[in-house]
Amino acid sequence: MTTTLEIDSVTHRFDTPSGGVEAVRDISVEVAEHEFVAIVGPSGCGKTTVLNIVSGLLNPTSGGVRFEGRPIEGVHPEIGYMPARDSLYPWRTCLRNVTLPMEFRGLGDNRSRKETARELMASVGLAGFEDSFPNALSHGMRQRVAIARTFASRPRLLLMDEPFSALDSQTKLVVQDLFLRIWEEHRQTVLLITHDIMEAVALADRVIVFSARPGTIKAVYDIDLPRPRSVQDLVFDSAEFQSHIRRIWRDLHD
Amino acid sequence: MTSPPEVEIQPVRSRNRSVPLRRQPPMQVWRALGLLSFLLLWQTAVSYGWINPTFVPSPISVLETLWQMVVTGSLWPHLLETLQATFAGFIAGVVVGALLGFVIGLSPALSSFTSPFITMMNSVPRIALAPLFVLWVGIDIRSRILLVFSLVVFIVLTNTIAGTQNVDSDHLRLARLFGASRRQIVFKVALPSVTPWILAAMRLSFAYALSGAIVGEMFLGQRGLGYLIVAGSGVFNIAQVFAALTVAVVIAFFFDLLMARGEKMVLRWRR
Repeated sequence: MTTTLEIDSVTHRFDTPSGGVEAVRDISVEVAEHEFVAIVGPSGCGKTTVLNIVSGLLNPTSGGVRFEGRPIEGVHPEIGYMPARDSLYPWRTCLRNVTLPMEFRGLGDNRSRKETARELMASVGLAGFEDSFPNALSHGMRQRVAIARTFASRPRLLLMDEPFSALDSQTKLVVQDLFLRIWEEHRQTVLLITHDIMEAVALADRVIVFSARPGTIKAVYDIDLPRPRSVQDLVFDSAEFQSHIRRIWRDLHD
Repeated sequence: MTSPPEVEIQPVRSRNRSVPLRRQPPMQVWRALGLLSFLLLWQTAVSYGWINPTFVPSPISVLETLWQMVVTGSLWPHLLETLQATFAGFIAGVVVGALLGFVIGLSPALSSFTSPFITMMNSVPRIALAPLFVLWVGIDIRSRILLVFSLVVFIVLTNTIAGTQNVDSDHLRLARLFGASRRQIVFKVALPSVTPWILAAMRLSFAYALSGAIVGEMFLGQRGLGYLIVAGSGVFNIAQVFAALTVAVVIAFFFDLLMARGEKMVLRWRR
């Protein structure tokens, strides 16, 4: 099994007028190809800092990150990203929001981009909404467009920053399952950031728990639930799922 | 003695029952009624001598004067003159203000550097510079175009800078993470984000453009609506003054209507 992502003893300190604030300390994580890893922690634990460093937007104070064996310098075209808010461009139709990453990366010509986007819109269940503007859509639908957009960039590594946190709990289950279904096709390597233990357990193969500031790795849990998974089945029926959550929850609150 | 009931008894109808909205007269009807009653009041006030017609002519006499100017054709050269100065200065101001504002706004260093200078220049009363403009470019229409330009350009400039600095940071972050080039960020993220700001500035600044042209003509013109106003008040032809003002109001009104339509079309993604 090859390693897709290596975070090697990363420490980051932000400069502030009153000295420095250490956001994360000595983080080391290895993510294998096709592995789904979730980082869980309280707000302000430096989760997003880690994501910014991995995505190449931020240089760590010390330590380094390697993607497929090469150190990350700046934004890497094969690393995809899914933000917390859908961040759809309101002036673009849904279809043209989905083609956006392909345009930015220069993938294909206009026609093939639109074709790919159309297929993706259909796979997130939004066929017929290609020419709608995001403002006309519900939160759940917008987040589904964002999922289509994420996969449109054909990422080999997918970074997700609390991508379902803005959704209500029912919509969340539906959208998470939708995401898993599309993800199953290629099983891209994923690094998911979330504050939601349930989400982390339901989606990931491995859950890494961060401590509060400065963020350090407190514990790592292997989630050996079989795939393909259905978040809804897990939530409603799985005792195993519940016991994973219980274990992590108790460790966190001890 | 009891008289029979004068009104027939109507079937009881709840007032809360929802009445289809279409049944109510549209806002335009109310507006027209408002305008009409204002004109009626004005006409009455003059007819009954509550207002001295020497200073405030009746709406009917204003319309008569205006009609005379239309049928004799004496209005057109003046109207054309004002429209030319207004639109030439307005278009130049919008183009220069938007381009310059976009370039300045994209660079934090440049916006920070220029900010106090723009504030200073914007606080200079441009109307007071009209004589200087005449010295610089001559007493013909060019001085009025310059005056209009100087009014419009700063409104559009400051709005465009503000708009460029208010591009949604999540949108920018996303573009960067998707590997957008600087050029792509400028044209596919910043420009569409700024467009509503520029359009708002255009709507706002047109009134200034028209006023600038008219005031300029009052000082410097031999033609134009501003000239009609000065010439009219000089010989106590107040109806002519009001007629010229009416024309100005109509121009501004229709331009705004046009801009509102255009805005709706360009910004159709807004609900």
